[in-house]
Amino acid sequence: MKYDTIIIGGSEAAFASGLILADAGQKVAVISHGQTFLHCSAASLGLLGYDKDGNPVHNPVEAMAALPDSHPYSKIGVGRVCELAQDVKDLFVRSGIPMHGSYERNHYRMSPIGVFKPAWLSMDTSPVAASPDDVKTWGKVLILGIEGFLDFFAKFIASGLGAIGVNTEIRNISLPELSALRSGSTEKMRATNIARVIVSEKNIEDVALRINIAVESSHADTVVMPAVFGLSDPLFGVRLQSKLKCRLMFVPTMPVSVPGLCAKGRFESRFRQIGGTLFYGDTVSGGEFVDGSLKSVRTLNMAETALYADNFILATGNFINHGLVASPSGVSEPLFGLDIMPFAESGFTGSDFFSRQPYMKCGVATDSDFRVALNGNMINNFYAAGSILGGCDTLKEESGAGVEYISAIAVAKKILEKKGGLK
Amino acid sequence: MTGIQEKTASVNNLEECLKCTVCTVYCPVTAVNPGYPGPKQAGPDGERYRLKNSAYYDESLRKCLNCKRCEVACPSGVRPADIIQAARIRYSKHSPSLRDRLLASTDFVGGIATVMAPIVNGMLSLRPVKVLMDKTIGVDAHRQFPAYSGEKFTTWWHREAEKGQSAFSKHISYFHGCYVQYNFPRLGRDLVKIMNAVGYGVHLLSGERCCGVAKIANGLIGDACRDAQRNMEAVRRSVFKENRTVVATSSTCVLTMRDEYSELLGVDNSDVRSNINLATRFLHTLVDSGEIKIAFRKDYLKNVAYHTPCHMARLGWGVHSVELLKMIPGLNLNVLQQECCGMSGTYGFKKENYKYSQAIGQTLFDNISAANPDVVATDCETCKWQIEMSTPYKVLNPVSIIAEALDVDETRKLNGLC
Repeated sequence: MKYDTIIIGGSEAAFASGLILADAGQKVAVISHGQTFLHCSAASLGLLGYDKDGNPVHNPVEAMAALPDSHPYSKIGVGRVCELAQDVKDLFVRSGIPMHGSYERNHYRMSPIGVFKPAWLSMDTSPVAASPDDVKTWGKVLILGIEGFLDFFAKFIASGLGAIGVNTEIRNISLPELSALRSGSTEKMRATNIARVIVSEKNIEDVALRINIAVESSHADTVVMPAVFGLSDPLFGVRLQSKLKCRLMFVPTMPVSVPGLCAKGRFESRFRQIGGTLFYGDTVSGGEFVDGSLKSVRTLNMAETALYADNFILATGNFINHGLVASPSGVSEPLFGLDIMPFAESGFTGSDFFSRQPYMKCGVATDSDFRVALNGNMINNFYAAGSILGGCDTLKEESGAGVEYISAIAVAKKILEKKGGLK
Repeated sequence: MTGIQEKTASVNNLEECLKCTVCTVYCPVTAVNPGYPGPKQAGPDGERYRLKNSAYYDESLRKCLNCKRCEVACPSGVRPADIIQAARIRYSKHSPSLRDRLLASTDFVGGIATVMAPIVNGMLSLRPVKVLMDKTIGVDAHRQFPAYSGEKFTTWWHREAEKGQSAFSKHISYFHGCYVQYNFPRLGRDLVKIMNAVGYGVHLLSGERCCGVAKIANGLIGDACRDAQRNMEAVRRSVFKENRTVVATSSTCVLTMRDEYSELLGVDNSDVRSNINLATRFLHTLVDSGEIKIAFRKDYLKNVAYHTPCHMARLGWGVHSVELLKMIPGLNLNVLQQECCGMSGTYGFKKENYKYSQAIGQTLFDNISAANPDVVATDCETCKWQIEMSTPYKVLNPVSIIAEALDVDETRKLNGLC
């Protein structure tokens, strides 16, 4: 089978580049060994949240100038990163997910444990403020859990808000619609199961009524709830807000984030609509390299049937996604054995779990166009995108989403600029 | 201790589980049945305990449909469904009831029912008979039984097709399975029509038995192993002696023979696994490589919604059926979001499962109604029963749609047959 571009991996980078290429008329396939890590989304994206000393960044564009040459943003160029940042916002909007924020000025989002972190784009109804000090404008905050739901950390949130001088109160509401879920095992009262039950207009009315009663008696100005509604409706929060007497904020939960799953659903259905092919649950088992190009790949499911393409993108992620594998003999890229970026750090792991981890900077070796190499030879039609690029500590920089989406769109546009790329 | 990290993976990769819970999101049973703990808890979580002490096994694992959506979704390569099925085979003390044995013995029951098809079909649709079966053996009274055909596929093949098949220069053996044999021989006739038009002779797979999927699901493991061994002997004869690859029209039969035989039953199939193929994949691969050509009628105009059966998704071959259907010029194809229909072979027939079966399928039924097609295409017979019972839409295997749309004369010409 023949495609214009085959994308290997199920990361956000895979979807982002796939959507850009398919939108431009290319025949695109995505091969993913499982579902994407959008399932763990925080409903906010970070572009560059902290500098190398761990200080919060106010203007990401200015702070990018200080990044080392090995950083993906430096390889793309700061000016180009700004252009592509706008494309990322458009990508979400075109898929029906409104995003708020600017690449020139970070805002702050509250994490599920009540910590405020710099963010670039946030979904509707996210717990955001222009600055930590600005959180005081939330007024009195009612932290409202749902009876039987365990993945919401109300006390952490109260302590986080209390530390910046915000007055809070913790309460629970009981939703009778969830009684069947509550009667089952602990796996039942999960965010996605609740979101499957609370869907109708009548459900929204009922939830709104119960929130309003709690808000009235607690005299709260803002209510913070777990994000357990709107599995296929990104505007659920906006609809619920319109029925409330106070400001509503949804905190994404783990495991499995409802806003993330909603975004994934939107990307996936749009990708199919514009002609994209998804190979879910399949693993690439090897590639055929001819004269410095990758000609085709094989997969476990497709077996004897080789998949051909003019261009390939590797978006398999970092260690946690198995895009890179660490063993006692070293770091490797498991699908093709691609060249790994020289490791310049001293030591592989940090002294304690929460400190900077040098291995986070591991990645595949690429040229400035993000083309990968095998045995020292650049492959001219094979690109890497997303966290497999390495060269940065996305966790400490709060830059994971930015690197993921921006590098993906950069690579997709490079492919389209090539002769015959644009159909 | 050197290299200990590389020596910790078990066959179903349970150690790789990160507890991300993605599998549970895609489990159709967890969403509707409060008594089922879900693939993460029943699979890798529970397995760690069962490895220590088999007393940790609990019979709620029998609520798993074995749809394998958890395996398609897992980002870490864990196989929760296989862990659960293997645990059931190893630890379950539940012995199959008369009903389970009847439902699982698709070939034995089918053989008798076909002889008396008009009577059996009439009886099975009578309300008092349904109520009786509901009350006595626990087959849900709401369930419509697939009609038995008056003539077995093989009878038709011997009478109408056999003579002409050796005239072709290329050949396949057809694994028709129980459904085509006893319920819907038309699908087998459709495959013969297409294969003959592109230059392939179609032969019976001599010695074919039921693939055994229903026996595995109902705990009749010894019977399933015997069927599996006989089928592998048949496939080996076909592949090595007659030089014919084996093609089937049911995605579940193919998945069972390719993957479940070795992974669950311990029946080795490694020497012939790549020769057990699905018809749409076989055809599409030949079209894609230019070895055959297919011409379609210009007057075949239809809106078709394609439903990917869960086992087809696990095989990863939905793309073949989709690409073949896309070749039909007058066909407007709507590929539905992959959802479970809830039937899962014999699961939906059982009284205790009926309401969950329908609740699982509701999203799919709604999506089909929204698409409002002329016909639904799917590669699995039990999905067909469920969709036809639960929606007003007719369901056909993609092979039957291709056969309907086929321009036989033009196709024969393109393949140098006249």
